Amino acid sequence: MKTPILVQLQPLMAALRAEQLTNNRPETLTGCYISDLLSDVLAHAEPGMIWLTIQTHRNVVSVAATKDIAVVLFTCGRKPYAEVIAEADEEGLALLTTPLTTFEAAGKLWEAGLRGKNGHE
Amino acid sequence: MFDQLSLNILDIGMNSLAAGATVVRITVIEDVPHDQLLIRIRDNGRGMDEKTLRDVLAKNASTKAGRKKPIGLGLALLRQTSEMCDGAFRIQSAPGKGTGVTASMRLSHVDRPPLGDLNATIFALCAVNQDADVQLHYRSGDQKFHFSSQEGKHNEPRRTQETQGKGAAAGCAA
Ligand SMILES: Nc1ncnc2c1ncn2[C@@H]1O[C@H](COP(=O)(O)OP(=O)(O)OP(=O)(O)O)[C@@H](O)[C@H]1O
Ligand SMILES: [Mg+2]
Repeated sequence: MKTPILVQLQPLMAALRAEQLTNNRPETLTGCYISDLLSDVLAHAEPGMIWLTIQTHRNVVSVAATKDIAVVLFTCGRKPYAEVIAEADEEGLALLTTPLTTFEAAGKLWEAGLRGKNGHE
Repeated sequence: MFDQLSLNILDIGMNSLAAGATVVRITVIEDVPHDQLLIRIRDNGRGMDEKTLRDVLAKNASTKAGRKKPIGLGLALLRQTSEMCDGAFRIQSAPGKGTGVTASMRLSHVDRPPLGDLNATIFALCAVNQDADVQLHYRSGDQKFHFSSQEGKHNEPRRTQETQGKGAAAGCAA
């Protein structure tokens, strides 16, 4: 297993046109995983990752907490209900939203040097 | 959410076995005229008290030992799928009374996952507890299928054609 390349989150916020929904936000990201199927995320995500999804159900917070995911980025301008944001804050999970599509947001993250599972290119 | 409903059913059936159930009855009904799919998993396990059930529904709570975080997703994922597909989700449970989990969905909903490999789910549950009676009751239109993992187990090894009728099947499960 490769050591993940850590990427700073703060400089990416503008490129993603991201809005921070939770109070907390981590400094760095270890990688990225993209899926809208929660069981698939349970199987593949790794700690410290940013997860891109259009799902805004509260189960997203449960899955992210179980997998120690650092950030969930909702794409296409999607926003979860306030209760979901509050649950994420309780878990210490950061939630962001972007008007970009999942593909566009992924492109920005890749350009910034972020990689996938086990740092795979 | 899983990409096959049979994986949700496996998850819920595993809950039943973990709760010490000796009978796990899985019902799947595809009702095409009403565009409804009904999935029910009923067990005679230890059941949940009111507080546990409330925490499970409101916080995805888990009582599984050895978890880093007390979060369970088996029920939550089935609930999400059923609600996403215009259905309803219900849990009935009480200590000593067993648990029933019912999930419905609109059969034709575009996001409804396929049933998938129900056989593999039944097989896996039978393998986990060979003494439990794992039952499948499947109905789709006029098509019916019943399976019980204990059926015939306590019977004499060689059975004649006549004793295998419906009545005999019920008799040997008892
Ligand atoms: N059939 C059942 N009988 C008794 N208690 C149950 C039953 N099903 C669920 N529970 C209770 O509800 C909790 C949550 O169940 P759920 O399947 O959602 O998660 P889990 O089994 O704890 O973890 P996992 O994510 O591995 O499924 C269980 O920990 C258990 O306390
Ligand atoms: Mg479970």
